[in-house]
Amino acid sequence: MRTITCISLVVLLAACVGGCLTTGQIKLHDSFGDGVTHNGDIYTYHVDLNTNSDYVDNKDKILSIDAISIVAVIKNNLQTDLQAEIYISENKELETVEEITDPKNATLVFVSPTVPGNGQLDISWADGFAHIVDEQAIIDQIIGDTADGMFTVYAIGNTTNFDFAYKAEVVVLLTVEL
Amino acid sequence: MRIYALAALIVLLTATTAGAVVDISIGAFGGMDIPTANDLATSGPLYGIQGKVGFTQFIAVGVFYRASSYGDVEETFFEGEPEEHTATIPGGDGTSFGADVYLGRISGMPGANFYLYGSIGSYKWTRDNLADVSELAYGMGLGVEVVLPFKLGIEGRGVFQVAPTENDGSLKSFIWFIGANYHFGLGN
Repeated sequence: MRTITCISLVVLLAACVGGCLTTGQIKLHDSFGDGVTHNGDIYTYHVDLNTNSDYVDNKDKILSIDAISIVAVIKNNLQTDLQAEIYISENKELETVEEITDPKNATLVFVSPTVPGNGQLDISWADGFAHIVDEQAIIDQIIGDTADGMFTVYAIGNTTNFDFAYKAEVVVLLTVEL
Repeated sequence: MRIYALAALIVLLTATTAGAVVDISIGAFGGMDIPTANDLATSGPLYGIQGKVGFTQFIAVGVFYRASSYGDVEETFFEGEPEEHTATIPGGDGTSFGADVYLGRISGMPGANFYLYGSIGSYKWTRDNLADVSELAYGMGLGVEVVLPFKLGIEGRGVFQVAPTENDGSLKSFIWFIGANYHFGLGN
């Protein structure tokens, strides 16, 4: 009786959790650009996650994307305060602010805090979460039926004239099959 | 359905032996909570309290509360560049409470008492800047309690805890602790 009860408890517990034991939580980060952008020459950066070993090793095993953040260093080269904006798009040929800010062409995913004129702003991993404005747009580039891990990042300012240097990395927290 | 089945097993075990309480004990414990297959937290201390009711010398049921403080994870950004820096990703805190069942020598008799352990309860993982994760959790493990003549038991236990999440994943930990229990020793 005791043996049967012990075995029954073990089997029941195993049945309750079986199927989800071979999963884990990982993080990956990749560059989101490193350059100078101004309204006369907008900086673009082509992301290819297929060059990221963490992504390549896990892209077919991703169960969910749990959180996204951006770590960045932004240096404003003009006297006017600005907010840096990052757009992503499948289209790598956008050239003007009007084309980039058109929702049919690109999606705004990140808006920085105010970067003071002639100043620098460092955005930490912890702060970056709060400045992601469209997490789903980034997720759609990573997983899903049409996701191929390749897209273009455009960096512009929210002022008529902008000139800033930025360096950014995207941090993605994932649940994957092991 | 699985949850109800397990709860029913616990109730059934309790109902079949109702009226045959041989021991009641309460205690506290401390140990380590070691996240497994998780890059977002490292091991940290664990503390808790528990109570057990023993029916016959073979079956006991109880309740527990555990609190863990996970270790942080470090991540380096802009590696190899002038802006290179290492940031800390907080591991956060875990809390769990629920019901458990013990099978084995669990009646508080003096000497070494070995048992098989199972639990069901609520688990919550909280971290700065991230949404809380709150799920049902299951545990399974082994333990031994050495009960001394003056009704004090020293207990050690190892538990593997799994909290399935909505995305077909799970949060897993290996927990170990050592604790002390006072046995009221009814009917011994």
